Amino acid sequence: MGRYLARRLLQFIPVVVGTMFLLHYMTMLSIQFGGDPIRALFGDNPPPAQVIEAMRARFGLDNGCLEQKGNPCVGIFWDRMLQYLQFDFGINFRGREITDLVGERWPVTLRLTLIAIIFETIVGVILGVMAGLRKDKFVDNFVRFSTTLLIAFPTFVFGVIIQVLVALALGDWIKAQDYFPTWFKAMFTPVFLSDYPWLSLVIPGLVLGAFSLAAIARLTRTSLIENLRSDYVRTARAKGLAQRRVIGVHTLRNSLIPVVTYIGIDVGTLLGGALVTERIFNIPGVGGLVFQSVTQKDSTVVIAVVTMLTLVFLTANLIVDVFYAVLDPRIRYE
Amino acid sequence: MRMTTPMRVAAAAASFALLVTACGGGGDEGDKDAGGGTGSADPDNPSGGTFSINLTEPSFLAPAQNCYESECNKVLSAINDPLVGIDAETGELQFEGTLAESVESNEDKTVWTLKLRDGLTFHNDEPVNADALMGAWNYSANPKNEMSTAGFMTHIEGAGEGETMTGLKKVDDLTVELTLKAPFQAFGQMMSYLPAWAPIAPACLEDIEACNEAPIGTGPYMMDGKWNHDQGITVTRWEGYQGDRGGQADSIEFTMFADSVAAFRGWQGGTLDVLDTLEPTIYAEATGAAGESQLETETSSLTYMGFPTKTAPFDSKEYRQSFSMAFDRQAVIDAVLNGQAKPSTDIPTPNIPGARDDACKYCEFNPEEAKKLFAEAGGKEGDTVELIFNAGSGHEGWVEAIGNELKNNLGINFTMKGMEWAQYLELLDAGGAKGPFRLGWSKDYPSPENFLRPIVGTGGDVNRSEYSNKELDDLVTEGDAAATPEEAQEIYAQASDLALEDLPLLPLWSGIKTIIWGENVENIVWDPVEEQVSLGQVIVK
Amino acid sequence: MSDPAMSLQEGPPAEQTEPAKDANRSLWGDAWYELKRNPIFWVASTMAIFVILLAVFPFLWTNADPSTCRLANSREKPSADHWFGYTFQGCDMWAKVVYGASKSLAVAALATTFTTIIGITMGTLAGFFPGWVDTIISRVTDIFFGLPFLLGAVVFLQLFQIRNVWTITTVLTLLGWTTLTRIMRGSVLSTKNKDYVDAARALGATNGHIVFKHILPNAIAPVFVLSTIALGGYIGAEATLTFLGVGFQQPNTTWGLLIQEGQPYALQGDPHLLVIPCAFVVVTVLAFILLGDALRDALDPRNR
Repeated sequence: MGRYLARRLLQFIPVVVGTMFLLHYMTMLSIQFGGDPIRALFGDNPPPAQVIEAMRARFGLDNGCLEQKGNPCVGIFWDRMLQYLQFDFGINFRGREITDLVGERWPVTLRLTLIAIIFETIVGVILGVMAGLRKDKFVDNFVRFSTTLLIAFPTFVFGVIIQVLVALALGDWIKAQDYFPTWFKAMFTPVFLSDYPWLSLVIPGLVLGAFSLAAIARLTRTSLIENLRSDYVRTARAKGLAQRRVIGVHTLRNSLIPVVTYIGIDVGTLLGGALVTERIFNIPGVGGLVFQSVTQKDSTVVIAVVTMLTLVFLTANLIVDVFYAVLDPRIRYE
Repeated sequence: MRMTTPMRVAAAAASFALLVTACGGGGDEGDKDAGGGTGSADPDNPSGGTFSINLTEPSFLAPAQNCYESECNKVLSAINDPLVGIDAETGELQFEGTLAESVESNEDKTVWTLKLRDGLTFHNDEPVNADALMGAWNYSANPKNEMSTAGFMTHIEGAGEGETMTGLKKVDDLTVELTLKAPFQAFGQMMSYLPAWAPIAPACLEDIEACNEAPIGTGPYMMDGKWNHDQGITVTRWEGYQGDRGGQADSIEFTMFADSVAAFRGWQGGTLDVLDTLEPTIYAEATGAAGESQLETETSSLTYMGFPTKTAPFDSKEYRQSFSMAFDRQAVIDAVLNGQAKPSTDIPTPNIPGARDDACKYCEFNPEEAKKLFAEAGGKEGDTVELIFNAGSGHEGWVEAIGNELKNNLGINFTMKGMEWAQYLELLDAGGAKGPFRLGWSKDYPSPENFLRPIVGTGGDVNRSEYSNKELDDLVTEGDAAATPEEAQEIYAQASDLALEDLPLLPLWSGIKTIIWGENVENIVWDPVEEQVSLGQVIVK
Repeated sequence: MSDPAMSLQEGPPAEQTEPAKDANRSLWGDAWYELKRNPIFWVASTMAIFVILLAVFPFLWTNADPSTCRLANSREKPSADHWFGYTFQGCDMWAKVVYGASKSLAVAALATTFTTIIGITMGTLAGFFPGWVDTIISRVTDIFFGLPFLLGAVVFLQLFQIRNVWTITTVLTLLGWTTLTRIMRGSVLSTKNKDYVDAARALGATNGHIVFKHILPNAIAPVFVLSTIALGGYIGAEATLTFLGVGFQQPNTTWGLLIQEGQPYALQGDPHLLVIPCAFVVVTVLAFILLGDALRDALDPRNR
């Protein structure tokens, strides 16, 4: 296992470089095909041409390769890599250090993602187990139908409905009652409040985790159903073990492999991709930063932020892979 | 000021652009639809308290010279006094609540002299003097500093050629003399755009980055703490303020929202007191919820579509006219914009002195006449037209509505091309549009010239239709030299008539803005010169 | 413990009470037999066929033209002679839904098919062959995982310039193949070490035989689950791409556009603008998910 870990950690490097190059190429393409981002910062009427030229030079965008569609601009890539090796992650179009930008937004996104993951895992697995144990009965059908609803509604529909019905309408009623504690009332806010960094993220976290909750519930259910038919379960039952022990100790562990895989993937997706939820609830997170910088074609920000996200992804997936071996000792790594 | 709508840049202007700001103190009479105030805004007896208003994350706060959008201007106009003011009705310079005491020019408008009031200081007690002014203006003009408003400086001799401008001369501690490259009659008015001309505190020049996080100004409010990026900015009363624009509230919180629907939800939840941007989709809900606490006012924002006048079939005047008559503007406004716009009747918007309410005869909906003109111009059923616009700014709805109306009334087919901002600009810059393209404009100063020259003047900054009419240009120049504003407006009107007949643009509508507020505040008054809520007058209950 | 030798047989053991059938019935024959007896399968199939018919033969279901829109009818609610009312632009809602089905379903179906095929192939290869194959596939997967959805969507759609079923499908596929690959790989990893595989190997089965007859049917369940979920997700993804400004554009007719257009007005007193297209999406998603469930149940070798 130790050698496996060491090899995997070494492999981080080509992956990160590969990702950075792919991102770099894509942002170069988007500038080549989509227009000069510096010019676009100023709207209809730009400052004098000299100012624009100076800005272009500052951001390294005066390179001739940007005029040729399809040119991978290796020179710009090389310069950026050297910068990164010196821990200089660059500045965005407004002159702010990227490390500052990310430093402001990471904590918020981490909290939001954590809430979403805890919610989707706990509720998802519980629902999946309940449905799997009582296949084709009422509970199972209820879970299948409600998870379908969660899948069918895109986040931007679902999120707004929750925001208005739960955070606002229900929230107004709750705030008018006296017997709820303040912290409980603070959860029912339609937008993010910096005074309540955790509580005001609860409802957005639930919205964010809703789709994954459905997926996890279904994965658990299916996995459990399959494993419940296995021979070792039949043996355990034949031996007279309590249902709880059969499920909790034996079956669940084996059923969780696809769930764990999914959560590993989800961590990365949620961290960088929560932009719809962030927009609806006005959360200043990393998703919004990625959205802004992609639309502005601020390649420095895009590459820096997404590279950081990639590192998180890789770590999460490595943990998942290692976890496989914990969950199922038959899986071995040389 | 032009209205453009990429995500957050709400306004941009050319080197000739002027944005009018005037001290908010005496702005009551300019507002036609004054609403929401029963409390008395007694300047000597401020109400105190704190209120919050929405803001979108600004690009820069310092130096002020880098602010070329309405977001940063909202904050900067609270923490700074303007250098020079403008009277909303007449468009003439005035000096109430300004940093300058007087601005004069010589006969041929090439040398201008500005005199500051005595005894003014910045929030950090450094003096507001000629050095502070010249330091700021030289900084702006130096292309190495990449200031967004550098264009304002280009009139001055020596701008752009180095660290200092040869055309700036310090006469004494409070007086500066500016020599222009060429005579410019409206130079004084141009100086009313607060951010471009604001003085910079020496401490700020030494550490611009720190200053950006906590700008140092000259106005009734000062920064409280730092700029909390993407979350909020708080300003609080400056005890050392000597000027006339003192505010009612003790502090103001600018709460940031990236999305205006989220802003409305924040207002509903009690996080915001004043909301000045209402997305059309939640308009009905918002105005219903606000009840009496709302006011509606006209703005100077004009929405129109340019025609590519050198490309067939839009090179035919009758073809363009037929388009303009083929749809009912009011119906589109009612259905898609919730009535938050007024159909155009002239090129300058209705609140500009000299604008007329019946001048655009091709703006009236007349499908039979339209069909006739269309046929005359050689148009056939089944012709396809491409409607081009910048995507992601909420224009999809009305563009589609107009397309459907054109289809129903003229029988043509339409496609919609929503482009990303950068691509859109490139297309327009290159003159490559094949169909009508959406544009916007809003005033820099209250004169018809501010609409006519840029939009339909030869070589105008936003004249992307490639329209050129010497007669019109001459009329505008004649109007510039007129003796009185009324005379000027009459001459400008003749120029506008020429453009309205040739119709190189498709005038659509001018803006209406609705502002709502919550239970904690009152006396919300619209400042028509600055085109925003008069923050100093908001009373906290 | 079950007799390993038994797992190699295709047919049911002799003591089962099913009517006499060919002892070497194939996997699919068994599956069909199971499916026929599952009521959910029939319900779901009916719904799915209905939606597919909507998509393929829209003209059978309505005479109205979805692109004839009059502002005067904007947002009219459902009434006796117009069951589904009018959309925001004044177009006939029913016509829009019917004609919208084809593009939305096409995108979802194609994207699901491609990502599933790629996912199963790559995932099986990665899971079954450790060493270089696994390393390369997994690392390439990691690289693509890092791509933010929006960036990928924006760049590709700018490159292609046109927004039609094929370009949007390509984008969704390129951005979505990684999840199924990883899931499949995990599943194969855990199946590969099961006893019956060892037994099969001991009896001299080739790799191909092991993969197709033993690993795939047993490991494929999570992929099935996720695929059917993915189909529903892709319909929503199409709507989200539109919401973000990079999907289909007006005046096209797709469910995503209808949802995105109607969503802001649903809470303003015109719920039909949102509820009707969403209802169709829910029915479609439900149909395919239930079908997927039924199919997975039927294919489960342990059902015998």
